[in-house]
Amino acid sequence: MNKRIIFGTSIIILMAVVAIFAPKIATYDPLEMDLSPEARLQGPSVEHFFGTDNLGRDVFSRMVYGTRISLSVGFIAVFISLVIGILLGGLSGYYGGWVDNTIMRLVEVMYCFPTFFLIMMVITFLGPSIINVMVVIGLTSWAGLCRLVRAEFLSLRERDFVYSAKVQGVPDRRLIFRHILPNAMAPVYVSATLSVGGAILVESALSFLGLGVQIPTASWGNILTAGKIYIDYAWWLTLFPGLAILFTVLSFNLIGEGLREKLDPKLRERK
Amino acid sequence: MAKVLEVNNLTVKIGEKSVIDNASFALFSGEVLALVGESGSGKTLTALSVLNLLPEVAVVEKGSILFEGENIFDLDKNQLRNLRGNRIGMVFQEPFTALNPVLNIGVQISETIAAHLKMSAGEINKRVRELLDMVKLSPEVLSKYPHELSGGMRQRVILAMALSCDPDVLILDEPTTALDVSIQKEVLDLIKQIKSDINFAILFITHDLSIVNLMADNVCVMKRGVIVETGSVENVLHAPRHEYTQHLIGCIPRLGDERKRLPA
Repeated sequence: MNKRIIFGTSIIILMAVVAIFAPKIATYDPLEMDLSPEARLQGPSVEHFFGTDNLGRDVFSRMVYGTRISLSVGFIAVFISLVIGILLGGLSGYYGGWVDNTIMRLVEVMYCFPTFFLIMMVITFLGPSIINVMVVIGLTSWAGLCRLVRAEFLSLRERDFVYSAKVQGVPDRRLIFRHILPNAMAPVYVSATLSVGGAILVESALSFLGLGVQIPTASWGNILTAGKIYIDYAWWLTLFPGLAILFTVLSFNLIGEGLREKLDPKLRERK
Repeated sequence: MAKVLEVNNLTVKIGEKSVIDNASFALFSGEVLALVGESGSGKTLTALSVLNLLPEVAVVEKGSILFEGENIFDLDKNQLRNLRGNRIGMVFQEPFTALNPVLNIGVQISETIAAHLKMSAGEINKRVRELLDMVKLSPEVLSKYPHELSGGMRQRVILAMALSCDPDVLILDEPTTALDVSIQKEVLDLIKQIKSDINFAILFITHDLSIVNLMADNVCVMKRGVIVETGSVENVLHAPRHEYTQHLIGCIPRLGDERKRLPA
């Protein structure tokens, strides 16, 4: 087994367990405030692993709940972009002609937008909420995937087994989804894993700017924002969420790279 | 005997070049017609045009292909899909690439049946087992994937797929070229035997005259897209009239014979 995949998956599994069992793992209520001067901005200790914030809330518990947000944004946004990317890329590569032309021009238009500003603008109009963030990230990140799927389809549709299935009178829908798509999935897995990391970053950035998950709900991004004013004397408010984002995104990238190496025969080491 | 397939004055062009030039032949029910010629003579393109599956670069300039009286170039998409696999089955040259690597054999055989006949899952399963029996494969292969089978076994699977809906015409495009000689004989014997049990017409594409002698009733000889000679196997193989056919036959190596070159 590939070391990168093992390292990445272990971290992600750990994060997933934390997200699923958040109420059991969190040591305090993430929203419970304690405004007494001695409770605010406490450094890491046995009672508060990651310290407390300016409102006396336990940072560890807030981060545990924030894991839920980050992972679900990552997975759902990528799922949306996978559905759109595979569908449009498949149609484009399989049918070619004007279908291909129309879809590829659309992809080029998507590429032209500075995605992050587009997302910011849309969120400003729709109002910030976790659902909007997921949907908007999903709707703006399918273009690369679409091109990837199209390229795979272009080469696969000329393969003998596709011809052979066509000769047997297999309907188009089945040809696309049962014959060509499973053979085109390898690069899609790689790209999807890498995009999960990307989506988590975008969510954190939006939350940091106040356009993502709204306070008092905790997300890694908005814990960071809350901490930035106190960075001179309460380093734990920014360090821990920063590390969480770093390790999660790093893990997804490592899994993606590892998968790429496994699935791409050109990069595979000789045994 | 009734004509099942009739190709009339078919001309197909790729760019300016005629790859099939004014070809005409007819296939009668129950007949085995061999289409013989060197590589690039247009045999496979002729077979593909029968299914209206020519690659996009190839354009049908003129002519018609009648399947049971209907011109296949006039059929719409659904009628064509119903023709392929259901009324006309086809076996490709290369068994190693003609099966989908990610689907098991059971799925691949049953999908042809499911695409054409209204059958319940149980009936399809029964039919698949019948077909396996027909091509002499054990039911164990159903859960296997193409890479687990040998070339001969794969070609039998493809044959089972082509025969799954009791087609009227079976097109065999060099079905044994990619197999070694002993397996070739096995597959050819199998085709002969199945043909004697169920009656269908075969369009047999090959460049191997010994296979023609073994399998076919009639022969069309093709050269550079033109059919240069047509006739029964005895006439064409034993008393060839066209110079090209004579050269082809002259190319068969014989013991003690000095080899002649085919002027290409």
